[in-house]
Amino acid sequence: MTQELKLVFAGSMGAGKTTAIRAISEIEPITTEVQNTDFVEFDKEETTVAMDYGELTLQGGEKLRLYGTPGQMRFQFMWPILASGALGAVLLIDNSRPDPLADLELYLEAFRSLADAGAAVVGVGRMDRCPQPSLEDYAERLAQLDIVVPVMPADVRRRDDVLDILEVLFQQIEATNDVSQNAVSE
Amino acid sequence: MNVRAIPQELEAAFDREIKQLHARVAGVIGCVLATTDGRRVAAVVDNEADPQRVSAMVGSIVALGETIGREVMIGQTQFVAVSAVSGMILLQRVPAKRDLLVVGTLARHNTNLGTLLHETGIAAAAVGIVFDEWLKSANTASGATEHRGVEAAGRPPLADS
Amino acid sequence: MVGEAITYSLRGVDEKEEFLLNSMIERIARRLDRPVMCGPIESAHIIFFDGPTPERHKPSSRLVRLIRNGDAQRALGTVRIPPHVTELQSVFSDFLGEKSHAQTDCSLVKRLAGSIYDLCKLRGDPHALVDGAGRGLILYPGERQFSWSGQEEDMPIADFFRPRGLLDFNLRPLADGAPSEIGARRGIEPVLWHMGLAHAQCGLLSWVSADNILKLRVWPYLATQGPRASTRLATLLRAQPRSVTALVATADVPEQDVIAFVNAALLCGFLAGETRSDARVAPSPPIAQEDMAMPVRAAAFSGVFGAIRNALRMRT
Repeated sequence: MTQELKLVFAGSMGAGKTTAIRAISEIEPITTEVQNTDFVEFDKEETTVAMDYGELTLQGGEKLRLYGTPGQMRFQFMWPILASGALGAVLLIDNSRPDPLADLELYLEAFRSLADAGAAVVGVGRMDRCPQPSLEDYAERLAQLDIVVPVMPADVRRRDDVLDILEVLFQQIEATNDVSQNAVSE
Repeated sequence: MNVRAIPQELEAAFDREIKQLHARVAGVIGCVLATTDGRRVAAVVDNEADPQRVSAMVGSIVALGETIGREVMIGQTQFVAVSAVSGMILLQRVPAKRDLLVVGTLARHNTNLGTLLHETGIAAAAVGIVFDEWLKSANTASGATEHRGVEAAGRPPLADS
Repeated sequence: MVGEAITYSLRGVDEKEEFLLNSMIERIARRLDRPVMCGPIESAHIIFFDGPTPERHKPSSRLVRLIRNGDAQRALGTVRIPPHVTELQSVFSDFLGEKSHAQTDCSLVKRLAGSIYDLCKLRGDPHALVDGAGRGLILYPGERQFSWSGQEEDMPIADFFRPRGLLDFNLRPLADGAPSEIGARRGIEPVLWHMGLAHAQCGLLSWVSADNILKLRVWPYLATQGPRASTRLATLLRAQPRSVTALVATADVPEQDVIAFVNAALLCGFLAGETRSDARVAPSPPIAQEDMAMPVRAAAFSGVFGAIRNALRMRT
């Protein structure tokens, strides 16, 4: 059976997962959004309850599948389902939320195996409007968590920013794989 | 609708319907009433399943069913059934002016699916009537701000949407 | 560097021109305080050439184009053929002058880097790095912050560490007298980063050797401020701790850029040196399988990322 190619986009509600997928998907993303019934927690009309889906056809006909996770905690059971077999993960943090560093910690723990394997990148959105916490703060929190992952500001409404995040992600995965390959051959 | 502050009388009415469904069908071992975005509204469960988590999953499954229905062009999902080794789950939308609720019924594996579907449908319809009556009374009540759960963000209450 | 021979090389000249240039340089060399010798292009400090620009094997090599048209106005970095002795002389004088100046700069930069690094590590008292007019940086190592003093606040920090710029500045405790105008405080990392980059002209930080194993502790979020290969170098170090020597060998990046990145990242604390040096470093152990995603080995997909980059039209 051919192994599928898959990237997962995770992060809090409103962080831009669907937007990021839309930036690179050749199809209009399939979404599972329904009306939000709790505006106290989040002021958004709709919320994703299962997943977003997009895809990109590669040369040779293979498909790169793009999955977006639902952001709210009660759908955490979907995260490992969607991330299973993924090449890597893009974790999107919304810097305008009340505690972005707590969000960072939550999603990094949830996707820890990918992060530790060098297959995760963090993109922080809305830093232009909300500069705090700063990238230094993110670096400090990551050091406390003993996780080394690239963190970069990103406006996923700009396709180039999404591509920059993916380029860093691909470089991480390739480098980690090169090291493992060299170790095997020695 | 703000699930955090459903009026007590409405909550009690929902609770009643769910408990009645649970009581009247022999093989049923749990019932939940959930919002389509996966929040628990009312529940009675005989095993150790967590109603909060089940409600979230109900939301996901119904949404995926809806998505598949659109994709293959067979229209809006009416119910979703999951058959497992030791039981089954039936999820049915609540027919109401606002499409916000789902009834989920958990039953033993030897329960007749047709019976379950029929009884769940009755419960869903009853919940829908209760919900519509409340919506109507909320619309005609003066001072929408008296309604508990009007969002701090200043959005209009459910009935006005 | 004092006493080291200056090596020059000739390319694109005929026998007669070679003889002429060698004779003239030999006479010039008698008046210099360092020996001068002709050598291979790979090790030459100064390369006189005509034709296509030769590759610089040493980043610090100086290229001097030979101009054959006698009427052509001599531009900076060129010498006419046949050469005027004064032009040749000025090439060697300029070279010696810059090296001498760089030496002075290097001793200052090394001293400053060491002092500021120690201050930050020990969370020392505020210090001023200012000139006689009180212009410069105020450092708050305890809070890992800095502020400008008497400077335009939007001055790029990189400009502060430009060559020859630090000679006018002294590092002293702020308690010795605060400058009159102090700007808003901000994180100190950009100062440390650019100091590290500037230090590259003088080599690695003095407390680091090229064989020390370096480990990436924190992703260097200042990578976009240079050098260009920073993301690649950070990626390699994240995958496996390695020494500068190993990094230069594997990264396909000029040594100067590797040194600049390592200096900057060490000063900021993004990199840490390990006590072992030049030992075989095992790659990270494989991740244990969990309920969460098991990362897929990219080796299973030959060229998959190339295919994805192509499909997305990503520039590599």
